[in-house]
Amino acid sequence: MADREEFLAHIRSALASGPCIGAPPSASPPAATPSPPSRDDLLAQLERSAGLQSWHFVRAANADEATARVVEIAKGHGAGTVVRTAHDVLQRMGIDAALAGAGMESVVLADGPGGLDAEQRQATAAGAAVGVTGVDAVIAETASVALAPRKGMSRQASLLPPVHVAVAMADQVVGTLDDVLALRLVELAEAEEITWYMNLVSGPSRTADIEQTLVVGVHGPGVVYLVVIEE
Amino acid sequence: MTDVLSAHFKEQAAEAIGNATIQESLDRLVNFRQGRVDAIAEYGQERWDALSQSAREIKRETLEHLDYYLDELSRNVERAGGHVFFARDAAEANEYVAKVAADNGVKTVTKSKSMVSEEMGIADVLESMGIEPVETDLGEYIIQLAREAPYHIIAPALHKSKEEVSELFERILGTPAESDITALAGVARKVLREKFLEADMGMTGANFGVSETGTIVMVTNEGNGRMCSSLPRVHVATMGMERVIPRLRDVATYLPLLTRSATGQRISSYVSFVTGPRRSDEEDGPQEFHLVILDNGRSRMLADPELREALYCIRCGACLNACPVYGKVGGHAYGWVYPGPIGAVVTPSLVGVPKAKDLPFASTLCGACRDVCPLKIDIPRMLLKLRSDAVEGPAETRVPRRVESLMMRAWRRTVAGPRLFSLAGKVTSAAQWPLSRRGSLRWLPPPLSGWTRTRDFPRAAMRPFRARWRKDEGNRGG
Amino acid sequence: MAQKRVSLFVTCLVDQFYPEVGEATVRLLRHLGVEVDFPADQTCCGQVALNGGYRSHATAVAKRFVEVFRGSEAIVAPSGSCVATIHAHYGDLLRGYPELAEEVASLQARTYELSQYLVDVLGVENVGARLPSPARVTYHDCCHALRDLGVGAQPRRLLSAVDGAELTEMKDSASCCGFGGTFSVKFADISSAILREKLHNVEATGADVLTAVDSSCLMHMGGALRRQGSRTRPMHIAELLCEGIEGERA
Repeated sequence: MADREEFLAHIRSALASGPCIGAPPSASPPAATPSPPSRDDLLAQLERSAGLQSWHFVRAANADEATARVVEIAKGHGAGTVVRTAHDVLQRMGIDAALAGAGMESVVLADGPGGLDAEQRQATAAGAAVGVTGVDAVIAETASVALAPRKGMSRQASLLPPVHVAVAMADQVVGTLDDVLALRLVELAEAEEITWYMNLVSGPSRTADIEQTLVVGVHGPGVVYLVVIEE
Repeated sequence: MTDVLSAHFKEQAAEAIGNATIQESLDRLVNFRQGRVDAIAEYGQERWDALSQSAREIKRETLEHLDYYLDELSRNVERAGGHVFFARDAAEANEYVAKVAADNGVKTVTKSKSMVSEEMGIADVLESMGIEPVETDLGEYIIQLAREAPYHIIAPALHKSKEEVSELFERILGTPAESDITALAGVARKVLREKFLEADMGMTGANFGVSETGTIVMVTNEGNGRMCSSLPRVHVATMGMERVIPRLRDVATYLPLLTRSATGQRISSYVSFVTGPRRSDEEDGPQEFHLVILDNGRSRMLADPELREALYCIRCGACLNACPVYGKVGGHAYGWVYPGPIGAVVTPSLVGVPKAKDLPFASTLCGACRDVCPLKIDIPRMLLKLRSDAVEGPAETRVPRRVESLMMRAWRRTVAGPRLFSLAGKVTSAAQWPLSRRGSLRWLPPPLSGWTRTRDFPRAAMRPFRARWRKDEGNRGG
Repeated sequence: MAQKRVSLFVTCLVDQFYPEVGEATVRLLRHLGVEVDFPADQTCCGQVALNGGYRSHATAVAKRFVEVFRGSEAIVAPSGSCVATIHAHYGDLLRGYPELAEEVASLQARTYELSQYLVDVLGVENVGARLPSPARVTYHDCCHALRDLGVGAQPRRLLSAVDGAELTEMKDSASCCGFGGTFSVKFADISSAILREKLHNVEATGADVLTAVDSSCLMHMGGALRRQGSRTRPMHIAELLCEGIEGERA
């Protein structure tokens, strides 16, 4: 068994550079976008790239319209149970009541009094037709939704159901991946806990492993909606 | 470690060339090639070149200080609550993973595609312990059922027709024959979904390991990487030690290079950033996270200034798609985990030249691989270096070739001056005379018979250029 | 303008197998007013040894090459791959002779593939060639000419200006013909499979003439065209550009 020191010493001898003292010179980070694009430009770019990435893109003027659209989507997929995360935006939309009004059950995948245990949460998520989540950011260039699971934000809501609906506020849209990573670094600098997980979701689950023919929904959701609330 | 069958390159290549299904599947590589071209055009060539240049610069700098960055990476993974194991070779890595599995009473392991775990041969080790390893990338799953090695770095089952996949599913899973590709993928989804939900341990690779934050970055399209790193109790990631990058924001440099070169995608469907196990207050996610960092011969490449650049590789597979040789012989001919041009460099470097003696020579040195490489790795130059290791290198890399080296010694004397050179020309021409018809030869003895099986060979000129020049210059002067 | 002077590096293959390509090169250069000499001590650039893994032999030959062409103002060869050997590998091969470093750099800067010399140095695109009868011509990009020297546009410009030549692009003109030196013999089956695809693309153009800047690739493709009884005929670009031009014989 090699311990760290032994392993690193072997690398040093391969490099024949002796022990490395202190941080080596840092290469420059990727160049920042010259001027931040306007909100309208970002949304227009997002709409284009969302189409290319096979998102169903929905612009909603306000939270009420978004709620109506989400209910419509869930209904369209014949959902009995919808699982969701505890993102604020979904609470504000009053999503549970709206879904209940349309005859669907809405389950928050979170620990809490009277809630489901871990096993039940997984089983519910796996059985649900639709998963609804908020987002942490959206990248306009690649139509990527950043999801950082934490308390109340289950990893499973966007993963196990065959349909995923991501709801974003227009001011969460940024230009590039570098913007998201830079934001992440700022958050990390202030965070108490350095443990984190993040997914960038850029469209449906896809594969082309048989005869290079595209199939969606092989493991993750095969149908994905991105709802952007513009107000 | 996975067995090395690279010594049988020629037989394996001949088999592929004679197989119509395989040739048809290799013809489909044109989709990858076109996808890449279109994706770069969309991105903008100038912007692409700049990205490529900074990616090279970052790799150069990182490898020069690899000890520093691996130290930083491992300490940050540990700060995030993960465990790090440094493995000098595949055996050590396997032993560690086996111990983690045993300690956790693991029965089923779901695996996301990882070249390093292929290199380790961990699936066989787990199986021998009575643990079920399940490949979950559709392509990997297919070849696992078929008990084969991956055919292509990013398309492991490239060589299988849908009929073959259907037969395989029918034979092993007992599902009815199916000619529709979507339905075949649906079969795999159903079977693998069960496995995801029951697995105790998930194994993934790591496209990048970010030292600044202790983050492993995984790029997948199917969602199996997310499943493997979210659902089971234990997540084990394996990475080659060269996959470390210094800063989180460097991901923004490498990711477009990777996905656009590999499949022509702007980005893959899922990019996962894993920093330790689940957070203390998180709803779900693994309770344990282990990162295995593997050397397995990489330090030898690091120590060789002429091979170090091969460690820049981000495993996009673009060189396979562009290579005329890979395009005919496919992945299995190369006989180990890494096929194609980069495989022809990496395999002999990691397992030793004598075990893969044909690979450095199995190239026309056309340079198409270097052209498409997003890191601009000079693969032909490294093949030349490995060739010279095989011919003139130290005993451990040398492969005996008596006849050829006698011929080359004679050649060297021949080209050492014009007199012997001209004489050799005359001898060749005279020797060819009885075999030739209308200026060309339809048959030559071995070892040249390979040429004349499909091609005529020209006859050496009766009067070479230099003789003609002497005569004409004489006339001009007079 | 002072008269240009070049030394011809004829290459071993052209010297022994395709002397008419060497003659055409000389005739073409002289036709364009360039004075040509032929250092008689020349033999080979060392590519065969380099590609075979015999680096020490290649080094010895490279060193000799530097000495033979020491006094030349410019060196022109009717071969992309031989010139590429000098450009891309002499630095590596002669690393053990630091005293030659400057001379190697200068040699590299003075050595040209023929079409490169004509277009980039002489600034000529129309050499005045005229085919005896109109013909469809297709151009194969030889790997080293294209990728190591960036020679791709030059030959096409020259060919486009040839009277009676209809330049028709083949599919994947930049893909390798499968030659690769001893690769074509050591891995004959693979080489032949690659070649088959190449020739399919050549023949799909309906070309009368297949041309390129390297006799080695043409020997490979031409050998198979001949075996198959194809009507497409291989022709080095030097010979094609010499068609119908006035000028002295080499």
